[in-house]
Amino acid sequence: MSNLDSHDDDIRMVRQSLEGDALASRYLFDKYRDRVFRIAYRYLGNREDAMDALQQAFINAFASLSSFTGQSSFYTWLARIAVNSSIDLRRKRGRRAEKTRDQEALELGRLPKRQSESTPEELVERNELEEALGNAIEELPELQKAVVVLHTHEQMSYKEIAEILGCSIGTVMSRLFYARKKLQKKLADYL
Amino acid sequence: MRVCRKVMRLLNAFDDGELHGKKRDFVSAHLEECDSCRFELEGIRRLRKLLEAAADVPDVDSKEWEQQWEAVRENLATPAPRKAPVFLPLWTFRRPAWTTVAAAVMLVVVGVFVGTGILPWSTEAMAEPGIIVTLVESDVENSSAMYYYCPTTDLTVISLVSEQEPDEGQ
Repeated sequence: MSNLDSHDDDIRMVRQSLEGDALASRYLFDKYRDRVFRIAYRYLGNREDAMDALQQAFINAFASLSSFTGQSSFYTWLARIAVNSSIDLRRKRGRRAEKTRDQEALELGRLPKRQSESTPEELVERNELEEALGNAIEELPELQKAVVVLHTHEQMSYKEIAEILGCSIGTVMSRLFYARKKLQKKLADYL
Repeated sequence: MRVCRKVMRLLNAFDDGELHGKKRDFVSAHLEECDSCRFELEGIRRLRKLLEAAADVPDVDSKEWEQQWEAVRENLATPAPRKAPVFLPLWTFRRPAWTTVAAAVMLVVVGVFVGTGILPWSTEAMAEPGIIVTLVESDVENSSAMYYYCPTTDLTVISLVSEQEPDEGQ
């Protein structure tokens, strides 16, 4: 399905959802839940908070669905809400006690397949890297962090990120430049 | 060096494929002849690989998604909270009853002055007669309400003064 078809589909589903069609709402939830979860998880660094942020993001999105004009893609609009929900949650809860993503996943038995096949040594190394990376991203200012998450993990273009964060492409470039400088400095041992 | 500084600021965008036209050509040409900028670009690429390598997120099973959807759906199905009553308490704190009466009397007196244009700083709107100031009976225990209306400015002020103590934790 082309992007255009997908956009038209989304607009149709938004309209139906606004008319009270629960199936249309469910369609939008199912279509974008993984991507919203990825943003929240990368932003918050732990599963539980990411799930809460996802839930809040969808609640907020459905509550303000009438403000979606269709000028941008539904996902761009939703990603903005997801970033805001993640920032809000972070402000409310502060930073959680560190637990690497893999440790958390291991405990919950939800390690992605590729990692569950790793040797214990590889896993330890990976945990260390994950922790260093998590800490380095965590220490970035909120908006630099948002740019890194959206660009590096969501592969969004500068234009899309600018739309989501409500800033210019130049600002996105500048934030990414400074964020990467900081990350390079903090992760020098791994580079 | 000045050129290098300029190029280094563009390297991220260059590597991300976000640079076009003359800017892209300029960076490309410079990279061919500058070792330090090439080294900088390598650093950017190593960081990118590192970030991408750690880009996994935990799996979420279908049961969990179902629970998440239910939570979202339930929240949407919950009726919106009742609209706030017309008479909103302007403040709520413990104080003696006489202050309520004093405040009410003061408002009436000011209202009368404003209505009759006696106040020295009266504006045109204030001097306009016909301002209505009324004490209104309130359903809330130990509270009184004041209704103030100025027809010239079409301004309505309704205040409720209550002795109710705020709940803990709110």
